[in-house]
This record gives sequence, C-alpha cells and structure tokens, in this order.
Amino acid sequence: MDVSAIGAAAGSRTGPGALGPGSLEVRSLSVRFGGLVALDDVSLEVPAGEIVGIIGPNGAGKTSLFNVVSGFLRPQAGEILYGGRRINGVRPHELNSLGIARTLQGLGLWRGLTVLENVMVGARRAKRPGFASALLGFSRSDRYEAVLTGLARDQLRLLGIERFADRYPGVLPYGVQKWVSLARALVSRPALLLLDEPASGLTATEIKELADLLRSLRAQMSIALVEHRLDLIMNVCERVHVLDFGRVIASGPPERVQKDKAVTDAYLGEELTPTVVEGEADARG
Amino acid sequence: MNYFFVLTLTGVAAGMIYAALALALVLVWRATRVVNFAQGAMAMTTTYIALAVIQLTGNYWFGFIVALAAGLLLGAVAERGVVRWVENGPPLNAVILTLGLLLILEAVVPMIWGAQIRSFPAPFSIAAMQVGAAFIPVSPFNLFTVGVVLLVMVALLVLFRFTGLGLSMRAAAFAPEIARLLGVRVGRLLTFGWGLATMAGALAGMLVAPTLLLYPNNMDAILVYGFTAAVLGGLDSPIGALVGGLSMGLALSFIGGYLGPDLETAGALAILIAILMLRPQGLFVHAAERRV
Repeated sequence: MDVSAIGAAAGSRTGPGALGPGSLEVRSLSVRFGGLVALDDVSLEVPAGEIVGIIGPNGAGKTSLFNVVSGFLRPQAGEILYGGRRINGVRPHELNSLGIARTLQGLGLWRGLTVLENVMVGARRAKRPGFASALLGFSRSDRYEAVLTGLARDQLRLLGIERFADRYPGVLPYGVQKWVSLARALVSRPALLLLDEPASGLTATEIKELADLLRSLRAQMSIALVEHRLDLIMNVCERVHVLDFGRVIASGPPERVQKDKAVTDAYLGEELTPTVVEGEADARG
Repeated sequence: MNYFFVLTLTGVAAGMIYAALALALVLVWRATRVVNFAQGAMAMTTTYIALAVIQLTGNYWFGFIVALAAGLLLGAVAERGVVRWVENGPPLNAVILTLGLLLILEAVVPMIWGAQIRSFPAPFSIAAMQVGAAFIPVSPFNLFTVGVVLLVMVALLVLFRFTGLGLSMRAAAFAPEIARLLGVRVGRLLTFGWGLATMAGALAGMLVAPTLLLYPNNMDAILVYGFTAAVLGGLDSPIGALVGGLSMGLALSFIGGYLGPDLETAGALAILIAILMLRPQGLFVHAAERRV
C-alpha cells in the first residue's frame, strides 16, 4: 500500500474531530482464532487529540484490537480508519512512517543496546540514506547517524532521563526502563499512540507522573490506552470503551462507565456465559 | 626455533580461518537463530566459482572479489528462497534444511567441476619466510590471512556499532516484532545478514584452499572447528568468534604438535563436547550482551 499518500492525507486535514489527523476508528471489526471469537463486531473511535481508555477483564480482546490495528492480525471483517483513511492490510513496519506508535506489554527493551540506541531504533521517520551508502559509510549516512542520535537525545531530555543515555536498560530501575520504552515510542513524533498497559509495574507516584506526561502529549497526538489500572484511566481519559469477551459493552466518559451495570458485572465476574472456559479467555489476552 | 613458538604461530594462522567461518555461523545465528550446517559447503562452492574465474582471467584478485560477491548472493538467496519458509517452524526444521543444502551443494559441485582434488593459487607465497639464516614458520600468506580476517572483523564492528544499518540489524536480530513496530524492515535485514555471513564464509574458503587444497568436502573439518569456535564464543558474539577461532587454532596446533596430527579432529570434538557439558552458554556470552 502507498504509505506516503496516506500520511500526507492524514496530515492535510485540519482541526480535531473524529476523522482528524491521528484519529482512529474501527468499524465492525471481527477476529476469530478457529472457533474462538477474539473480537466480535467491535466499533469504537479514538478522536484526534483525545486520550481514550480501553478496559476490560483479561481476555476481553484489548490486545487483539491493538494487534489488528498494527497489522499483526488480519481481521475477518471490518474496517480500520486512521485519519479518516482505510488502513486495512497495513504491515507493522509501515506504522512508523504512517505516524502510529505502539508499545507492547512489558518493556521490550533491547538489553544489549544502550538506552540511547534503544530510542534511536524508534527514530526513523527522517529521510534515510540508501542501503548501499549506509553500507559503504558515505557522508550522507554519517549525517543520518548524527540526526538519529540528536532526535533520541532530545526525546530522552524531554522525559528527563537523558543522564541514563549510555547505560544499559537492565541495570536501571523498572520505572526508568518504562520511561525509556515510552521515549522509544514518542521519538518518531507519532500522531497516534497505542499504549498497552503502560502503568503495569509502576508505583503510585510514577503513575501520577505518567498521567501528567500523557496529558501533556494530548496537544500533539491522540492516545489509545489499554490499561488495568483504573486510577490512571479515570485520571486521564476523556472517554472509555469497555470490552468483554470481544464485544464493546459500554462506551462513554469514565465516571459514567464506572457506574454502568454491565461493566461492574463484567469486572465482578457475575453473569458469565457458562459455556466460555476461563483458560480460553485468558489465552486471548 | 622453539617448537612451542612454532606451534603457536601456526595455531594463530589456522585460528584466523576458523574465526572467519565461526563468524559466518555467528552472523547467521544472530540474524535468524539457525545454525547453518551448509556454511562450509557454501564456502566450498564460492571457492570453486573463484577458481573458475581465476583460471579464466588469470587474475587471483578478480577471483577473490567474485568469491565474496558470490557469497553475498548465495547467502541472500538461501535465506530468502529457502530458510524464510521454515523460520517460524520448529528449530529442527531449519537444521534439517541446512543439512539438506549441504548435501545438495556437495553433490552439485562435483557434477559441474568434478570431484578430483585441485590445487588452488595463493596471492602470496605459502612457504616459510627466511630472515637471515633462520626460517620463521610463517608464510606471507599466513600474514595475509591474519590481516584480512582482522580487517573483516573491524569492518563488521564498525557496521554493527556505528551505523544506523547495524543498529537496525541488532534490533531486528534480538526482538524482530518490536523492531517491526518501530519501522525496521526486518525481512530485508535477515536476508542481508545471511549474505554478510556467507561472504565471511567465502573468505574462509579462499583462505583454506591454498594450503588444504580444494575438493567438494574440503570444508567439512573446518566447519566442525569453526562451529566449535563459535560455540566457545557464545554463538552470539563476533568478538567471541574471533577469540574462539584463535583458541581452537592454538589448541589444535598443540594437540597436533605434541600428541600427533591424527588427533586434531578428535581433539576438536572433545573440546566441543567439553564446552557443551561445562559451559553451554559459551565463554563470552556476557561480552556478547554488552559489547556487540
């Protein structure tokens, strides 16, 4: 698919809104693994410039949803719209140039790469030199390394972790490592950020810092947030979608969703469909 | 001349060749987590191609360059055309596949060039050098061997450490899914990694042939030595491959020199078994994590 055309189209629209640049909308998305339904006719949207929470019990299909949007899974039915343009069939390596960044559960940092190098891998939207000239070490490619390094350092400075640039992730506290993985996602200046459980493993203080950071990013990008920590969701999200067994069971502002009967039932495990086995539900996570 | 000193020098020269082949195995392992048992046969094939070119043009260096280029191409084609299809299967599939590749190459090459043992030209003399009245058990070709392998090592170090391409290759090797999400074209880099590896193997083939001659399975023993060297170095580290290769060269030289040349291959296998039992992660695995 022609990535540059989509990127340009997304960038040419102005103003926030459901179809603005960086917005995400999925329509009637269905994903099945054999007989197991991971996503069942899911429709939801992440309007431009908003922070949208996606919550639900384990196995509700939250990560499957992200996997579909980032091209790791093909949906059996449905549409994915990014900035108003259909991006079904996008491949994972094309996301970066489309302006979509995604973090995975856990850290996923390279232990053999320094913090700076980890972030540099994410900084790839700048015009890059040809394969051959990088190989032969021509001057344009030297400048390219310098640009990569500069972008990565700036991003680390923005997050206040520049002093760890030359350390290896394995020796740093978990909270700092989490910040590094955020820096790696942010360094490409995405218009849409997909965060998969960014708060897991963080202390209460760190979660507050994360909330402040996410709010400060709102002006630059839309954010979809899959999260178990409801304190973070309630704190930063304008809108929440609740998934349960692959279906959207509630959508709306966090305080209203929190009181929704279907949501409390899903979280307390009442009225579970007796035919669904717990283990299968977990595997979908 | 001290016998120990002589064995040390010949050990270093041989060790550099093992290091080159170990490097090929390490690069393939890093890229795709496959041990390429066809690495030796691929090197043998590119060396036959080089010989044909040298005989045709009369120019050794032309053949040398063609061998390296053929290695790059052969490795890339093997990855893209064959290995790619079993990459997501069980590891054993890839192992059997590279063994198949080994058998095919060792069958096809004699169909084209015959199975007889051939001599192979060297760019420099393979006779011991004479300084004054004394002979030093080192030939100009040995010096060339040491120099060119070190040069390749440094070039790879620069590629991996200081270029964006190298950074992407390291990223793709250790966490392909994440690298993909960050915009890295993982597939291309794996193909390139195999090409680069087979180029290093082709170099080993060119360095082996002048002294050990060229025939369809002339690299079989070298593959065992190179594999042992790679395992010794932790399989993940180019520097480990160099140190492992040198250690193997020295160990085999001492075994051959003091215990008898018949024991060299057995010695290599004994070392391999000892490493796998005592320290299967290799001697340099820490260095691999930190510096590569």
